[in-house]
Amino acid sequence: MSLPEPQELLTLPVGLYLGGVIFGQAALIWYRNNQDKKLQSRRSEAGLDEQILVDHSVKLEMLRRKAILETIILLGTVVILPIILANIFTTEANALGTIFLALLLWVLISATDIAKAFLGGIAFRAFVGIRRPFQVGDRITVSGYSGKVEDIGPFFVRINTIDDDLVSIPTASLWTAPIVSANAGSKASLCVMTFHLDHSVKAKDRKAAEDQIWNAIQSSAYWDFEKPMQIYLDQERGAIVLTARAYVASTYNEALFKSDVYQAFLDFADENALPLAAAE
Amino acid sequence: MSDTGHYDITLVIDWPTLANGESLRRNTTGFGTIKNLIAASRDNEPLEINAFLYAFLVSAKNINLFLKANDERTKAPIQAICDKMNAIARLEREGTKPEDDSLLRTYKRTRLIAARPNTRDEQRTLATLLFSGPSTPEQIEADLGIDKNLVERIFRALSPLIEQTEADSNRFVLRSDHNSLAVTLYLLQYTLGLEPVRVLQSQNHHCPTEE
Repeated sequence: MSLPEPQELLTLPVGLYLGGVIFGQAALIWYRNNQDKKLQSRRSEAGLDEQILVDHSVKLEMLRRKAILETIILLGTVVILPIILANIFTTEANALGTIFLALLLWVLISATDIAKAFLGGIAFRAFVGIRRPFQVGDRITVSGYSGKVEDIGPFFVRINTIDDDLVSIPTASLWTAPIVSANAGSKASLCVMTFHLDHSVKAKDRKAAEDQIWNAIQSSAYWDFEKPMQIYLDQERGAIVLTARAYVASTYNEALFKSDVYQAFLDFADENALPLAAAE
Repeated sequence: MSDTGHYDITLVIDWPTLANGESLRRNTTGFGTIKNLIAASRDNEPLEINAFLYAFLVSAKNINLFLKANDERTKAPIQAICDKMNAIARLEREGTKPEDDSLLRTYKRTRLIAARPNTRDEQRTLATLLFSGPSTPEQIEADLGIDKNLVERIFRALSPLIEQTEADSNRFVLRSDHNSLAVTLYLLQYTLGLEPVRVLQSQNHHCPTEE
């Protein structure tokens, strides 16, 4: 393909292509804002505030639909539109191809940090949409920060920590960062709780302690009773360790769930003079 | 679950008084009490227990492996409750008002109180009443460690969902009409992630919910 002269690039199909890319993105923003306004208006008419209370799976489905629409518009305008235009304006195919390649080269070689971050972010968002290593609403640990994913944007992933700090991590940087997800898209997540008893504890008391942990978990309002739970015993230097593995029904309540269980256990230990040991 | 033959349990939506006045509070008794109750009940007369308590016992104690339950009396009510929960979900998701005005009123009045992130005592109280049934403020205080006076305030604040029992003015129970139960279950699903209706559905496959 011979490169056209610069003035040859100023053609109708090239204008349509660039106009299509800009119009597509603008139309998407307008459509989203319009939909959000309409929804807010209907909710306000029904007497509801801005907070949408829906189940975790429904919320994820709503976000997924938005992401799919965004991807279709992006692919449609940037990749598919020039192919269609090249088929219609066959004599201008060179110009269209040149603009497409120029955009690509600019992106790969000379793009500014902002563009690179944006494109890296877009690519990561697409990857997240397909492979779902984590999703909005998940509790994750990444780059030393743990919290609830509030937003996966083209520039930043925003995480709300347990201290209510809002941490923004560059989305493009997540390609190389290890990501730990506590619930991987599910509403529930596993809680592991350890209880340290002194070696001097009697067998009867040890059994009673295990029963108490069992009861404390099953009577907590936060326990996910649809999932299995286990308690097992181990020995460490200076302590007998009971480990409970149970699911909290809503991962955001993990701290409250643990608090319920530990409080019931410590009350029991206090009432029954159960000898406890310090954790190593 | 509801094929022919003898049943050990009949599921109901309300809270029948059990023999010997025993209760099935989930914090202390568990499976042993219900087994004893069934053993003591008369032949050919299944023990009536609340459907939501049954959902808990199925998951926590595998009660369905040992006892056969008849759900004929709860099929239609659970279906109606599912429909109303779906109507609330459409209201939240799409802003579509439910056809039933009283459902909207009940939901709006209680949503402000029970769905706030800092109202954990209200949410735990609702969950306790759902699975343990009629309770006095003293029992809730013992179960959840909430001050008795605060429990009474919670009961008053959530009066669209909670009422006094007829037999004892110091004992409170979730209202058993479909609107109130649908709102309670929806709020517990959103705040605590609890879905006893799904357990009941998986037992008999008669109530598909919307995605």
